[in-house]
Amino acid sequence: MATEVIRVVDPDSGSGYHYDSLSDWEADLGDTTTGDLPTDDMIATAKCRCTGGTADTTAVTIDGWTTDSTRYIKVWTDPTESYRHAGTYPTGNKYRIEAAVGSWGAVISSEESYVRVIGIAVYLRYADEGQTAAVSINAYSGESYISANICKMEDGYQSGIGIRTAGGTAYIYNNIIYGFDNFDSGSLSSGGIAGTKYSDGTAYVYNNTLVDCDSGLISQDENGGTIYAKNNLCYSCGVPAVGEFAAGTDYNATDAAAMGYTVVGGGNTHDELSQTLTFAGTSDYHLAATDAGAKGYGVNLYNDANLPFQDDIDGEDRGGSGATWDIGADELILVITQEGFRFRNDDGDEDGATWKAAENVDIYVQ
Amino acid sequence: MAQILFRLKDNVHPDPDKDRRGSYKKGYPVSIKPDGWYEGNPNWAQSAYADKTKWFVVEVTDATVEELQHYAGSWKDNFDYEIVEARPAQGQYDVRVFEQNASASGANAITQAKVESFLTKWGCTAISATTNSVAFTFSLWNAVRSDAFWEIPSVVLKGSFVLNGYTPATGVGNVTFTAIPEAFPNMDQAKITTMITRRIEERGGTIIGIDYPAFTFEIERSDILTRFRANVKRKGEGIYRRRQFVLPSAVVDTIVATGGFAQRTKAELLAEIRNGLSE
Repeated sequence: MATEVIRVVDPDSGSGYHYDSLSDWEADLGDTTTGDLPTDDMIATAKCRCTGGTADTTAVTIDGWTTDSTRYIKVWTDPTESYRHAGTYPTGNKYRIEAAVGSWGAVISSEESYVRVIGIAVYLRYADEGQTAAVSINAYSGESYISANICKMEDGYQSGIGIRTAGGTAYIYNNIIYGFDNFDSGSLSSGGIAGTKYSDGTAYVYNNTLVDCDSGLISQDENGGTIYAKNNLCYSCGVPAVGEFAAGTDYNATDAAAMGYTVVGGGNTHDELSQTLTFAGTSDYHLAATDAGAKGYGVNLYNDANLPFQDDIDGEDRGGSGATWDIGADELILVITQEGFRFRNDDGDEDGATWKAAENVDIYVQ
Repeated sequence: MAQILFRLKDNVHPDPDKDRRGSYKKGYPVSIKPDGWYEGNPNWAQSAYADKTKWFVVEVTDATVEELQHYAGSWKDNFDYEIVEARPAQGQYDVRVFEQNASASGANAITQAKVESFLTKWGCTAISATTNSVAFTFSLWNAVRSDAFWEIPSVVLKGSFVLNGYTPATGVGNVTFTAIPEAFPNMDQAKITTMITRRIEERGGTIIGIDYPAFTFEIERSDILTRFRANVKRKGEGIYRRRQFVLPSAVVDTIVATGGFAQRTKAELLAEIRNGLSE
């Protein structure tokens, strides 16, 4: 059993910190023995905190390590602590990393396989560069997990991708990505999630919410990679999806009249098009309780053969193997059904008020 | 004042290319810290930075963080090119691209393998290499029809190009692109028009007329060459070494022997630190 070497990254250098930037943690190979994790028999974990409200402003490139499936690199905010975002891009004492990067750079970039990026808020700043990304896993093999992150991009004319993967197998789920809309609609180099640059690459892209992106989902399949997309919500994107997606891709929703992708063999008969999607608020892409465009339209992935999971971006249980799932990163959780609830007509007359018929009211947690 | 956090311990990877590109070595600047970075911080002593077998610090007494930031940069490619011979009547140029960030001893010199695929995507021909230089023939007409110029895979499947005229004296070409609407599934005429118009204008073209699905535009050769230069830089350039600057081992040993902390002025640091390009 590998030893997990947990080191705290806190830009405010609070009690218990080890590094004040993710970049310094990486430079120290996570304080593992050599950075050759299989030989060290270690898992390198960066536990990110923000004890004083300061953002991490140095982009990080993970390179020069050796990993395998059980001795991997993990960058995350621990949900049992208070430093993870609450499903919106945070301020205050929530960890976030914000930086501008050069061409082909990323705020969080990895040249290694077997990397996990979980629960991180990432802000790609404008730098007048091209082919940039918030999170980029440029592995040639192995697995990477990218989940529960929030990515956004600063305005300014540059191409940028929220989450970009190259080779290996990438599992990308429960992320909210917005504002990657500063380039060309339908672009392969600007948008929400881009998968499989290399021919042997496979990406499973499930239950992500993509808003205001040039292209929502991008299959960079010109070299023959494979991308499966299920339960993704593409809202206000120039083109919801571009490229060829693998058979099994289905249950995606958009406000547009078409998804825009080609699904091998067709079969994507459950995509929801021209949907009216309602969110909780400005830059808050939790579903509103009144949403009728994504709520209940998803497929249950609790027992998915490739990427089974059961929670949403907030860590809330989507309801088990028999539940009806929502599309997107957020699941509206039904807390209680108030039966026989009666509303009064708003007739401005207290004494002579008339009442509506009794009805049942569902109360949700976003 | 500002402080530079240096790596003392070598990180090592068995793959030599990966080791050079990804591993921090003894004497590499890691990050730039503000004045008083650790003095007065009650938590610093228990942080990873307190391990003096891994780190040392140089305080630069007359510099700001911004003034030192370049020391924490990677050694990156920096391509440039020159036109060796122009044949404007044919819209052709013999060009050579070279590496500005090759060291004095030739480290990180450009090779044909490094740029050939990009040049091919631009329709370049007669590609050959000499030391730190790759020569080729660049054709304006090939370039303006290339996937690389438009950043669209298989652009010839999206529409066709016709050269209506080219004026060698001004370098202005008049081109019509006729889109194949079926190649843009799920996009209506308005969306296709907006996308193509924007793409032409973003690349320096001027729309002369639209008779959907035909878009006629003028483009000047310098716009194509500028786009080419930027594209080769974007797609061909990478990181050669994790850090461009390094403090020599003897200097590091001296600092470590005195407790892992030293003060320098900007000028003193500049005199001691080594730029990889000078190696």
